[in-house]
Amino acid sequence: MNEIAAYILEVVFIPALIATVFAGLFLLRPLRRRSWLVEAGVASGLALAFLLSFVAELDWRAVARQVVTIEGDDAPFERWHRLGLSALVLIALAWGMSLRRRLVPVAHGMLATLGIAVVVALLAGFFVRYPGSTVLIQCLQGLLVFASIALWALTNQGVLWSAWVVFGVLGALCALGGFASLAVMCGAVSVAGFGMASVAAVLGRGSPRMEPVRPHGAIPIVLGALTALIARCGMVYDTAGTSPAVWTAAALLPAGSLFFSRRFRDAVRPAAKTFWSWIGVALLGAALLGYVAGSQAFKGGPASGESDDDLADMYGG
Amino acid sequence: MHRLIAVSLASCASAFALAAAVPFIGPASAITAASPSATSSAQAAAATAPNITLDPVHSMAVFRVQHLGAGFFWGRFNELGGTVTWPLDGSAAPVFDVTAQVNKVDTGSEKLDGNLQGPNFFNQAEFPTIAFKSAGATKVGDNHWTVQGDLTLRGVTKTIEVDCHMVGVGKGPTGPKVGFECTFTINRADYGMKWGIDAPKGALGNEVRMIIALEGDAAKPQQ
Repeated sequence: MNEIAAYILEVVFIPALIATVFAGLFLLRPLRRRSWLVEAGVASGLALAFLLSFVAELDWRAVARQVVTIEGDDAPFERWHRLGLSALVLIALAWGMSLRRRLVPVAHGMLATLGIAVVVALLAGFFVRYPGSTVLIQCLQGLLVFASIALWALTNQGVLWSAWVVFGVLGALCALGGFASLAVMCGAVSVAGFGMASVAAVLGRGSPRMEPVRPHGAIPIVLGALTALIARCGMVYDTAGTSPAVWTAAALLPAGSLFFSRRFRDAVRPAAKTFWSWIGVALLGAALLGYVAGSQAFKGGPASGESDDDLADMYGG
Repeated sequence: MHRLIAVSLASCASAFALAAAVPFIGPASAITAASPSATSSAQAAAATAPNITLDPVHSMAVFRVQHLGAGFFWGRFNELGGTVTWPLDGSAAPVFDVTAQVNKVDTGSEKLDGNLQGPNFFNQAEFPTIAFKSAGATKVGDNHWTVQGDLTLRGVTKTIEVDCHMVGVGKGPTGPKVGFECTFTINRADYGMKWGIDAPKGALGNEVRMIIALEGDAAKPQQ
């Protein structure tokens, strides 16, 4: 196997496979009837894909270094490594939220989720600080996290297919921006989203009583926080001149699920409902990538003799 | 209702995009490290020798690293800045205080320059400066020294040895010009720059050879 294939396997597909198998356990028939387990399994599985890829690409110390001093470790503290810690916290949060819902059912569950979304947005604004941060930028980062969570909550049963698209778009933007490490981490979440969506579809086929995976509870929280923080990270470290508006739009891609909301409501078959809640996100993602590719081509694109192959770029030329 | 929520959220987020469009100022964290105690000869030279202010147009650092286990790939940092303290009669070893800006990396390919400035390599957003401060020197020949000093790269400071030659003293329009050439080799993994060594395996070598060309204008020491 050539080295780049081995690398992609190690940092994208193996983390995605582990996360999919993990989440898949909770999508099996007996467990799928317990929605709190499905939420916890899927939400933590998606964050797990990111975390495993992060660890495969860097190592555990890059996460641990964020909170403790490691003896003999003289590697630099890098602010973007906080994403690994964020994924770890989101895994714990996913289980905490779902367990709370299981053990202490509250009358207004949606309000409780909204409150947690606000807390997550505040924490993301306070603790995840990239270079060049100011109070205003951190406030806006928190707002972006909240907005992304809210939009993920509207993706209905297309949530996992949408995760495949949104993280794929983020990965492509990172690769274009010269940030190969973050690109492969997004790739892992994207492939995990695809894997979980496929597993959920296959296991749910022909069983009308099987509830589709919907963005309830921890799922939009995890997806919204990851999406917005990755988009902000890509924005700050971008070296290709991609506009901050493009990165912001990438964090808000789940809004595409609203494009065909009428068709979604009118659809009867579950597969059709899933399709109509996903296709808008896919079209919006394609439009965003098309815009970026077009604007790069308009700027002149790769100079003569340069490679425009992103995998070749990962190899440094 | 959903549309209304989405539109209002998108409006908030567009405010974010506008604010974020304000150019980011790189972290002001100075990366220059406190150098260990200098040797007595270097300190004596510093006391009496003129400061040579580096001419950024004629000072650069060239580096090479093996690509895919095959050929050597070359790049350079343009516009080095800083000073060299050295008596023109050669009675003492030079004392270097040199900085390179990561955003001045130049490989001849804009795309590759961007990759090198990104977090996988030099991480310009967090560590915009590379600095070398000499702490001592050992004379090994005429106008030839082994200089010990601290190299700070990506926020990691390590003591290295640099082979330095004074290559010439010429006349410039405003006074004497002095040139040095220095070479050293580092393992980039020591500075947390590990991408491409093990994963993807062998994409780029660990060992980086640096050749530094310095030229500066000598000024009389201030009394």
